[in-house]
Amino acid sequence: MNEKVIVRVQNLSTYFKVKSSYYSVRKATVKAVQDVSLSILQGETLGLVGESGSGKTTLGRSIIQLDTPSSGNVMFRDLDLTKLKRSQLRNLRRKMQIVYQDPYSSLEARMKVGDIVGEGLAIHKIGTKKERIDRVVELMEAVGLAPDYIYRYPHEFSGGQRQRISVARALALDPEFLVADEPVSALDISVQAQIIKMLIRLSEEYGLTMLFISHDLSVVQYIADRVAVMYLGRIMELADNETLFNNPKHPYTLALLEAVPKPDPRQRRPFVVLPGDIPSPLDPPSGCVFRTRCSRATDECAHTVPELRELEPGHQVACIRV
Amino acid sequence: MSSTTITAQKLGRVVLDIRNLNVKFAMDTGTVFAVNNVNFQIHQGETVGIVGETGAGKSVTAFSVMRLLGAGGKTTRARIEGEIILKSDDGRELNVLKLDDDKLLRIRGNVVSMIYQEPMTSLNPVYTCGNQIAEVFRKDKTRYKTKQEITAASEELLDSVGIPDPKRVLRSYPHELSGGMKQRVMIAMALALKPTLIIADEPTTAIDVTIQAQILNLFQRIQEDYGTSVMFITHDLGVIAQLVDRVVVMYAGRTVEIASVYDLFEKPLHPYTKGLLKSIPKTSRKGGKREELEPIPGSVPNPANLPPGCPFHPRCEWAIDVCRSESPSIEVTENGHSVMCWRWKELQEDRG
Repeated sequence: MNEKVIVRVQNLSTYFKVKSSYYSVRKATVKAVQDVSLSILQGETLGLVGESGSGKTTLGRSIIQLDTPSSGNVMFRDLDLTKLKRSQLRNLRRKMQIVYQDPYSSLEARMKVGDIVGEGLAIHKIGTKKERIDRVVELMEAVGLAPDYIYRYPHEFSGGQRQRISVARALALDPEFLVADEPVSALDISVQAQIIKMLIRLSEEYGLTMLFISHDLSVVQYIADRVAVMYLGRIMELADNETLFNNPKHPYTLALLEAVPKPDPRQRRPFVVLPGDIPSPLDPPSGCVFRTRCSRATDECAHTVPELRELEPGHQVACIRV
Repeated sequence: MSSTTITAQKLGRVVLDIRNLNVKFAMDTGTVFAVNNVNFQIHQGETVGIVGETGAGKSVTAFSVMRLLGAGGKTTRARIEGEIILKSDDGRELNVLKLDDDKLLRIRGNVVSMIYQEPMTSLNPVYTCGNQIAEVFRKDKTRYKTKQEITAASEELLDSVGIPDPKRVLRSYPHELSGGMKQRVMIAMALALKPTLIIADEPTTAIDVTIQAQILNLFQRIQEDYGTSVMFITHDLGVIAQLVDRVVVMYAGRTVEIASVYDLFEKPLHPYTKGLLKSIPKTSRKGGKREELEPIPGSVPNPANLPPGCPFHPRCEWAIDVCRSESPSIEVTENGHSVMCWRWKELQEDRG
C-alpha cells in the first residue's frame, strides 16, 4: 500500500446546541466530537469503533461535511473541506460517498431502485440517459443484484438487498472515499457476512479508501487495516489492526475487547465488567473522559486531558498511565 | 460451571415441555407459518439458547409460552396448536394453552416471566420503576402484605441485580434511566417472585458491548444464585457460546438442530448451523491475512411463502431432489443431539 494521505483531519470538533431540558430555554452544548486528528491513507480501510454516543457517526459525517464542524480542518487531498463554498463542495461530493446504517430508512420509498442508484449520475449530469442506465445495470451486477431489479421499489427487497442497493448508489459516481456507517449492523449474521465480503471485494476493485464505522469489534477486526477507538468524542487509541487487537494499550480498548463474547464454549469465562455507563456528552468528565469508568484512574487523570501520543510508530494512545 | 459435555442423566427434572407447537397467523395476504412442529424441553436450572435469524420463529415461540398471542384466535389472528406444559415441583402439569385467564395471571411472574428485547418500550413510561416493580410483588399477597414490605423487597431486589442507589431508581421514571439500567429493572421484575423459568428475548441486542457484558454477568449470577431455568433468545453466537447449556437452532419456524453447546460448536450436523458458524468473522488473522468468510448465499425465506421440502434447501449447497420435495423429520443421535436434515449422516461420514 502506498502511504499517500487522502484525508487528513486536524483538531476537528463538532458541537451541537440543544435545549438543556425539555422546558428550558437555556441551551446546552453536546460535544459530539472533540479535538480529533487523524489521517486516512489512500486505499486503506480505517475502522472506527466505539459505543453509542461516542461520536463515531458524527465524526464520519463531519469529515464529509454532512455535519458542519465547529472548529478544525478536514483536508481532502489538498483542499480544506471546511473552507469550501457550497457549490465547490457539491462538486466534490462525487468523490465522497456514504452508506448508512439502516437500510429501511435510507432508501427513498417512492423511487425505483434504478432511479435511486442513478440519482447521483443524473444530478451531476453524467452521460446520456441511456449511458446512465447502462452504468446502473453495471453497478447492480457489481453488488450482486439482478439488473431487472432497477424497475422495482425498495419495499420489495430484504435488508441485505437494500444494503446492496445503498452500496451501488454510493459507488455510482466512482468515489475515492467512502464512509460506511455501521453498514452491516442491521443485518442477520449470514447476510452480514455476504455484505462484508462484498465490501472488501469492491474496495479492492474500485481502489476505495474507506472509513468503516462499527460497534462490532469482530467485524472491524475482519475488515479494517487500521483501527481508531473512540470514547465520548475523543480518540483513545489508534493502531494497525494487528497491534490494536493483539497489543492494545488503552484501558478502554482493553475493556472493550474483554467485553466481546468469544464464539467458543471452550473459552468460557465470567464476563469482566466495566462499571457504569458512558457519561452524557452534555457534561463529559474533566480531564480524561474515560476516568470515571477506568480502574487505573488517578487524581491526575481528572486534571489533564491526555494527549494522543505516539508510543511506537503508528501506535497512538491517549492515556497518561500508559 | 463444569466444562464437560452435559449428558441427559445430569439434567434436572423437566420444567418446560413444548410438544408439537404450531403457530399460524392468518393475514390478508395468506397464512404465515411462524412456528412449525416445534418440540423441546427445558430442565431445572438449565439455560437453553434459541438462536436463529429474523423470522425464524424465536420470539413467537417465547410469546406462545407466555400465552401473549391469544389462544384459539380469540384475540388475535394467531392460531396456536400443540401443548406447552409447565411442570411444577410436585409433578403437577399445566398446559399453558388451556389455562383460563385467572390461572394465566397467576402463573405469569410466579412460574414464568419474560424479559423483552427493548427495555425502552417495554417499561411503562407514566409509572415510576418502583410502582411497576411493586405491581409484581402485589401478586403474592401472602408474602407481601404492606407497602413497607414491598418497598423493602424492591430495594433488595434492585440491589441484587447490581443497581447502585436502589432508592433513587425506585423513584425514577424509565426515561430517567440509561438503557442498561432499564434492562436491569426489567430483569429485576422478572426475578421478583423467583419464577421457575425466565424467558429472555434478545435482552442484550439493543445494548453496547460493555453494558452487554454487565447484563450477561448478571445472567451468569442468576444461574448460580437462583438456579432458575432460562430460555435465552439471541442471534449472537458469541453470547450463546458463553452463556447457555443447550442450543436450539431455529430456521423458518423449525428446530433444525438441538444440541449441547459444546456439540453444536464442535460437531454441528445441520448445514445451516455450519453456515452460521462460518459466517462469524474470525478474530484471528493468520500472518496478516484474513481467514475467508463463507457466508450462506441468499436470505431467510418469507414465512408467508416458505419453499417446499426442507425450508433451507434453496440456500443449501448439499440439497438434492428429496430436499426440494419432502420436509425432513427430526432425527436424534445417541447423545441427544437432534437434527432435521435428509443428509446429515452422509455429510458427517464424508467429513470423517
